[in-house]
Amino acid sequence: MKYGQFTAVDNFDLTLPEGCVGLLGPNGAGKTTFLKTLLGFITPAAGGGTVLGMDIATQGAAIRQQIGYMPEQDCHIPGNTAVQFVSYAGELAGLPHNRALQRAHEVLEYCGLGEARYRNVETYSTGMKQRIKLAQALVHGPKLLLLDEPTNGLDPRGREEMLSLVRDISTKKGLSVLVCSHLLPDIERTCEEVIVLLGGKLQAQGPIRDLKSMTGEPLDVELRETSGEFLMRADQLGLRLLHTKGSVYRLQGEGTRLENCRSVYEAAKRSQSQVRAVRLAERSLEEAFLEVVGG
Amino acid sequence: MAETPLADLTYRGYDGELSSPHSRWMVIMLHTLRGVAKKKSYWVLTVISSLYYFLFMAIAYFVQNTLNTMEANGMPQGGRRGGGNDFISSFFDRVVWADQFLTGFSFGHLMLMAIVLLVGAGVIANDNRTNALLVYLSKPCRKIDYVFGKWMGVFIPICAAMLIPAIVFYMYGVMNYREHGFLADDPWLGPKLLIVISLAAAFQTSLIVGISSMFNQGRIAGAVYAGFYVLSGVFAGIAGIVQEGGDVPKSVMTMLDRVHYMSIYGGIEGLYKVILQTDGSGVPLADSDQTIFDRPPLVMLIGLVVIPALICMFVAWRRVRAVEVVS
Repeated sequence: MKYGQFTAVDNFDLTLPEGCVGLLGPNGAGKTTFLKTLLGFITPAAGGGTVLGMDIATQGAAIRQQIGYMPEQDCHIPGNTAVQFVSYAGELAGLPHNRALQRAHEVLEYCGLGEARYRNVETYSTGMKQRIKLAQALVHGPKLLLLDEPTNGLDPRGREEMLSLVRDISTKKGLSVLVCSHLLPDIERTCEEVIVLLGGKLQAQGPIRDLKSMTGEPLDVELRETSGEFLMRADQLGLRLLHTKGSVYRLQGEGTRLENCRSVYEAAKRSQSQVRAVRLAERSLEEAFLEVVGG
Repeated sequence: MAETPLADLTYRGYDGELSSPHSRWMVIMLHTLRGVAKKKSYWVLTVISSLYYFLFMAIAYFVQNTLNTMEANGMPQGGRRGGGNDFISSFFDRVVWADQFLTGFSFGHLMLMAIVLLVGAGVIANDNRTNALLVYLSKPCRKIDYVFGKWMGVFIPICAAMLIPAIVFYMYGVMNYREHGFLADDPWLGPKLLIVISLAAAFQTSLIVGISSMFNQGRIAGAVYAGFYVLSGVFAGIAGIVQEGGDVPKSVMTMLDRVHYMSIYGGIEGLYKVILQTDGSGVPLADSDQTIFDRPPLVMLIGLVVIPALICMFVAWRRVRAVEVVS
């Protein structure tokens, strides 16, 4: 994809899986261009692609009929109540007038705006405006939902409710969702997979679990209380200490995951320590993201 | 919220029929029309702008009744075919029917300007203010659908405000004043009216839509249009004042005739004169020494009406950019 001579997205080969996928990347990474392309606004300078089986170069309008887009910025039809706005959005997407009105009521109820549906949208709070953007994206029953910064400007409670809603849509309503956000906890909370873009190139793609997993499969061992004796015994059994946080020790051994677990319990037995938990260690998504983008 | 059992039952996927992504402009047009129809001020202004027609119909009715009474009492009377000198008997002699539509427009043109502002000033400007393009263009709606839908949503109310009173007057004339030459004077008056009113409405629609697209506030777009309408009218009005002053060489008079049409109002007046093929005799009740400007040449009219309209539509087209939707 090019803007004049500038290549915004280059050598990009990607298949979006079903479910909830997060789109990550620093500013200028090509996320916006990627969304524009999915919406059919930009034709690739070379190559091509399909969305829901439709060609992005020639079937932009048909694609947008099957996609719901929730923009980052506030947007609404001036002078309309929520019902009028959402039902109009449905009509624009191709719903018959009566069906659009019915769907508008349903969707507004689902998005938590049932009580305020007859109010002019211009009087809405920031949180309500976020919800109505989601409602207008959902009204025509899209197969794919593009959410651009869905928690933008929300207070903690509003953010929590919005994330629950997104999660509910992707897990219980059978919609595929692509969430574009700078807030990694939001992505972690809602998505199973992530796509990381950097400099217009696909940097990483896969399940969040895989992205966060660490090489060598270290273990996080939580003891009842800190114990130097335990660490000494563990070291004797070939477990190397990587990191300590309170009474939680990150240990890595040379053996298999099962052999390392056995060594942990052996060290605890020898040092008379009480093990509260043993789990496979993983990075935070932020750490994984920074590593991928070279931060 | 989604967690409550009641709410959870409300949302379902939609597998029903979706209309083809083509002709989305009709949805936009209908939505704009619904908004206009709800405005009481639109209807009030439409009635006020058509007062001349009703006034004329009342006077013509009075004159006709008086003539009928005179005939019944065996009093001498003139009338269109018989000739006559007094006001009543010569009233229909002095009436040029096509001119009444031009006068009707001139009489209510400020009200029509208010209708144009009411209907069109915010049509794109308000969408710019609320980022509504994000909604429109993320749906299966192309740029042409948006611009044309908005244009039609403004054109139809303006056209209706001009056309409905004219049609009522025309039908009234056909039914009552055929013997006074209503149809005989110009059998093509009806189709010509349709053409001139459509063109006048299209001209005003194109201007207001173009201006509206340049701003983020409807009231600012409206102020710009109104300012342009009034200032260009004042500029053109100077021509009339100079002409009325008299003692002007013929070449200057010709130039003043041209200047008179260099305004929004003048352009529409020129359309009426060219299409209805009249120079405008004014109100039959008024003194006959009023200034009458010659019909403008067709080429000049095209320059004054078509080019500004095209420029404004080009501006609107450029301002609506789908690629900017995701920013």
